[in-house]
Amino acid sequence: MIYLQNVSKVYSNGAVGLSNISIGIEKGEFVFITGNSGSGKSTLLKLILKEIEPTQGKILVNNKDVTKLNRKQIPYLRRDIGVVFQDFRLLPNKTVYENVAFAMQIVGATAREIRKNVPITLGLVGIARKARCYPNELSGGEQQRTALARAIVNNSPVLIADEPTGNLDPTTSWEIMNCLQEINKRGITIIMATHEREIVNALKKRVIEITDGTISKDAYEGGYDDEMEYSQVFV
Amino acid sequence: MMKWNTLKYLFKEGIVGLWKNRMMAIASAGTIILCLLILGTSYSIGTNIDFILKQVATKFGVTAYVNDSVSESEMLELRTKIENMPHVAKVHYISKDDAIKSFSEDNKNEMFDDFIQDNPLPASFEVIVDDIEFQEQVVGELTQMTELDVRYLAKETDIFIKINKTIKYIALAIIGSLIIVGLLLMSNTIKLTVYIRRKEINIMKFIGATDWFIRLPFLIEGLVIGAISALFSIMILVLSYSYLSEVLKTNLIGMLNGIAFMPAVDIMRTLIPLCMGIGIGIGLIGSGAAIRKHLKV
Repeated sequence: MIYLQNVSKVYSNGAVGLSNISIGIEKGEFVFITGNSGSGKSTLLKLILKEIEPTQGKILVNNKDVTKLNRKQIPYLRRDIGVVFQDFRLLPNKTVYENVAFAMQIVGATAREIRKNVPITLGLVGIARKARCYPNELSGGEQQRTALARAIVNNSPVLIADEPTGNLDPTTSWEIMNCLQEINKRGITIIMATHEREIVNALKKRVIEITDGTISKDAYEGGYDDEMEYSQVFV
Repeated sequence: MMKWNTLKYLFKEGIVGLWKNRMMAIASAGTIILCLLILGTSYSIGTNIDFILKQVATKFGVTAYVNDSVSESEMLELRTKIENMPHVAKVHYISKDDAIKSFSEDNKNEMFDDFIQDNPLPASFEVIVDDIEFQEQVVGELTQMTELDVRYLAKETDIFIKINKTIKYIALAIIGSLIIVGLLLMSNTIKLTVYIRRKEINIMKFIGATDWFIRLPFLIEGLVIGAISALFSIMILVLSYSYLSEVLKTNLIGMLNGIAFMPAVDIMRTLIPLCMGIGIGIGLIGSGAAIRKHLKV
């Protein structure tokens, strides 16, 4: 599904984002990316979304070489990858329903498809009751559910979550995690960057830890503080 | 190519966006209206000065007195010859009889009767040029004809040409700088609108919207703002122009000495399309340019 091969990123100011890392993530996996702030987590996610270009190496998403896409092709790459952020990033002028419908408008869905799929997706993440509310009328958890609905409404095969629970209290965080697990059960690959040990330790999923731009741990059924269980997947 | 229902959706988005961001829309429209009003006013003043000067220029005709030895048929030939010269707009023939008639009318005495048999006044051609700048050239050609004795106001014409040119340049400079100021003001206002909404643009990019998908609603907003502002300005300009020219006409009728202002219909024939074009142009270019920077995510 997603393969990085000997990828390095050095920023123009000389800071090293990532140095020579290789990762393989298969379809349907649930992967935690952990590491301190500035370790290179965000660089990794930005590279997959082609927000930035790698200095070296090859990145494959859904069998497409991301590094070879031109500017015009980026939107089509991003349609294959749903994204949720710590700060939700909903359109403030649109209701919950409209925010989710907007993602379908972008891919050119018909009005019929939108009327059918949006309510189903809102139901799936448990936000159907608030469909007519604007983002500023929602709690953090409700906003993140809306963002999740938007990320999956187009059946993108990959979901990237950048600290999705970072702004939420523990109870709400767990609700969002349950939501993510539900989504994962439907075969959607999930890559989640996080700081929260409790969540990582409890879920027993694959954990990739990044330290100073290199992979310091890649463990299946891992925990945040596990001993090194390095199992590089070669492409 | 975008699908029809996507286009429809984006058009609706533009209109809805206009309403949801109406404060900024009003600010932008205000800027455009102000610019178009100043532009329309200077255009009206400029064209009217030109229009009035042209009328004054017709009073600067060249008079060519004809030798008494020229016969009737030769006179006709001479007239066609003068009419066919380049830059001659009109030739008015004044016969010996016409000359004495108007002379005696002007002087209110009975000279007409005394001179009717032996008229000392020569016949003449009043030659009016199409552009006063070519008067010198026409005079040169007329002088070469031995049958004619050419008289004209050389000094006055020179001064007039200079004034006319200066006014034209000043008007052009004012209009030109106003268009630039208008574009700057407008693009700044729209830049502010886009800056306020840059987060929205950023979100759209992250969920895979193409550049045109993001741009189109903004362009439609710009277009509508431009068109509405143009309509407003045109309405204000038409009303105030007809009112002012009416007031000036009734109050200055003595001073004007038969000189008229340009009719509102004539001035609006160019001013309305000009305002529409500039308004819509500024709206489209302004929003297009302002959004460019934010699309590169």
